[in-house]
Amino acid sequence: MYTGKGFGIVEGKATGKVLVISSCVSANIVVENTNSPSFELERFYKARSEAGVQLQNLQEQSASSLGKDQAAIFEAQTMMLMDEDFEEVVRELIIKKDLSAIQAVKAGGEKIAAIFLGMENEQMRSKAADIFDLSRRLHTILSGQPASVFPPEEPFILLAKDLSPGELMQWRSPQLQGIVLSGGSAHSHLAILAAAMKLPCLISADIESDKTYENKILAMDASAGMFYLDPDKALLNRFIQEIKREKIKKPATDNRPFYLKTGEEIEILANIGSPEELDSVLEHHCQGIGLFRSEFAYLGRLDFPSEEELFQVYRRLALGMQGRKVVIRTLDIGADKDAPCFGLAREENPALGNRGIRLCLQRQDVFRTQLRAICRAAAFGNLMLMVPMLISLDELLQVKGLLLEVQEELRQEGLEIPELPVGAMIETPAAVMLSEALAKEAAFFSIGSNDLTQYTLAVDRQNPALAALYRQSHPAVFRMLGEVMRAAKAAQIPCSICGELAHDIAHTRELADMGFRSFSMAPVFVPAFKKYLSEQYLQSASPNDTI
Amino acid sequence: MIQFEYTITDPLGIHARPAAELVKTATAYRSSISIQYREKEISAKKMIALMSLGLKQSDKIKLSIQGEDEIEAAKELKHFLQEKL
Repeated sequence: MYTGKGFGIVEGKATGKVLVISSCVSANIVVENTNSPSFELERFYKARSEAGVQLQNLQEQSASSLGKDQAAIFEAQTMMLMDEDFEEVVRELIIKKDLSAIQAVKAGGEKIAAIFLGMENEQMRSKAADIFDLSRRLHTILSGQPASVFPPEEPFILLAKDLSPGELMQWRSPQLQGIVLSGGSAHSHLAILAAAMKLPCLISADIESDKTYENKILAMDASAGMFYLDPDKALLNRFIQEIKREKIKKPATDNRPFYLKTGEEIEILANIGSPEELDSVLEHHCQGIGLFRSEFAYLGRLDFPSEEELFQVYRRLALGMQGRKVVIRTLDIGADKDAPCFGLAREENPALGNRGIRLCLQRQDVFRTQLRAICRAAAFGNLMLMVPMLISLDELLQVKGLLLEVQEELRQEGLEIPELPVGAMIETPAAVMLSEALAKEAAFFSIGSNDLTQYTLAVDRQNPALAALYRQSHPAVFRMLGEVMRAAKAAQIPCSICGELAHDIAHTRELADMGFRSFSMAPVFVPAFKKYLSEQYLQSASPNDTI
Repeated sequence: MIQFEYTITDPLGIHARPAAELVKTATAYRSSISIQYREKEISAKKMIALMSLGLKQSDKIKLSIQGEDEIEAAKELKHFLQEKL
């Protein structure tokens, strides 16, 4: 038995067989293509026939061992593999965009999978997994690595140096129990996604993502920051028992509203990064989505998502929330995010670089597409727009101007376009200092306490050596919050908070005293937050009998 | 050209396996075969396009079949839909 330590970012225990993920999938994507399109095209066709043979074999194997119905799944996959539309998408990427065959199957697969991911019906959405499987199979053949291409059929734990959100989505399966990363970051999008999927996750674990660990049994306890490779029987059994017990005692989330003495209701909103998290928002009885990070649709891909694709995602959010509000944060991408479609150069200092609204105002073609999709989807629910990384009033006015143009354009096309409130995300000291002016133009404020802390304290929130200095409760940050709240009250616009501070119960009372009534957090934090509200503070079923 | 309408009765809608069978049935004929659902029209010989229609129970589709073997094709497709979907 080998015992190791790590840093737990999503709590919980898990056991399963190790599946080692080497990140060459994402590494390959940045390699320049130096071959001619005809050469790459030929490689694609060769790989496709080989994938066809593999699927044929799988079909025969499963027909004899599992039965005809199971075998038909592989037949369906074969037909998707040979599909003309798939071929056409890949051909175009190779010929017109000069991609290598490897890049083209990845990008092409994502493009087609996105069509399914945008659908309303869960069953249809799951088709995306078939497409991912295909593109992974082709990728494996093209890169010459003989790896397993399907998630295992028994409980497993992913072991990797780091994972992209896309990679995690591809390995998503009911059998996936947890994640152990030798690298990783607590503030990454992977962390957010793992939390949403309720997958126990350890980062900075002292273990290499070495293939020799594959298929070994691993038991992990993210709450204690420990993991055990090849655990002894007694330990493994104890883990299995405890996991079973935890599952049973998980209480349903409180769905009662909470009020202050004044009779004002406390609003609990959700931060999410993908429409896949909708179920978890509803299950935790959140009153809306306070922050939808719209980056996901752009990450890890070589071409930009189409207006239709984005529209489907936003519409699904609008419909899914059944009239409750959904705040979409416009694209917040910079050089630190894996978005090859933007072709951004590496930056010394991406946190201070070309990102967020700065990038959007430079790439208005891309930004307009997103705005059009949001405006169209707004007809299906209660959508709002929020602008990240503002440092001036002018930026907000430019966005509002662009939005008016886009809305006019859509109305000319004969569409009914409802009003769309535009809010300001307050996450730079500049925006705090200008909050009075911004409040006159913004429909609402939302404070992003993560970035605001980093920029106020000049502390890189991803630098582990400075972890002790990165404190969202720093008095300087709280003075900033007070300033923003004053400006919001003066202009009579709502002001919510959506960083880590929003669910930090050590500061909830102080924030409420300052005037905060709206707290936006990852759904996974909602039960503990509601428990705090009900035990310590502001619980009541009706405003009249409040403490 | 032969056209007919059909309403999906399978509670699961057109999922991967019946979609594969439908495409296989359609590709066995030389006629062009299209499926229309709302404003979209796709070829019944294309798997991904067919699935991307996202057809559910009680959705109404319209098939159009044109070509030398349209009579046989229409007969078999109608039979297939009634049996399987």
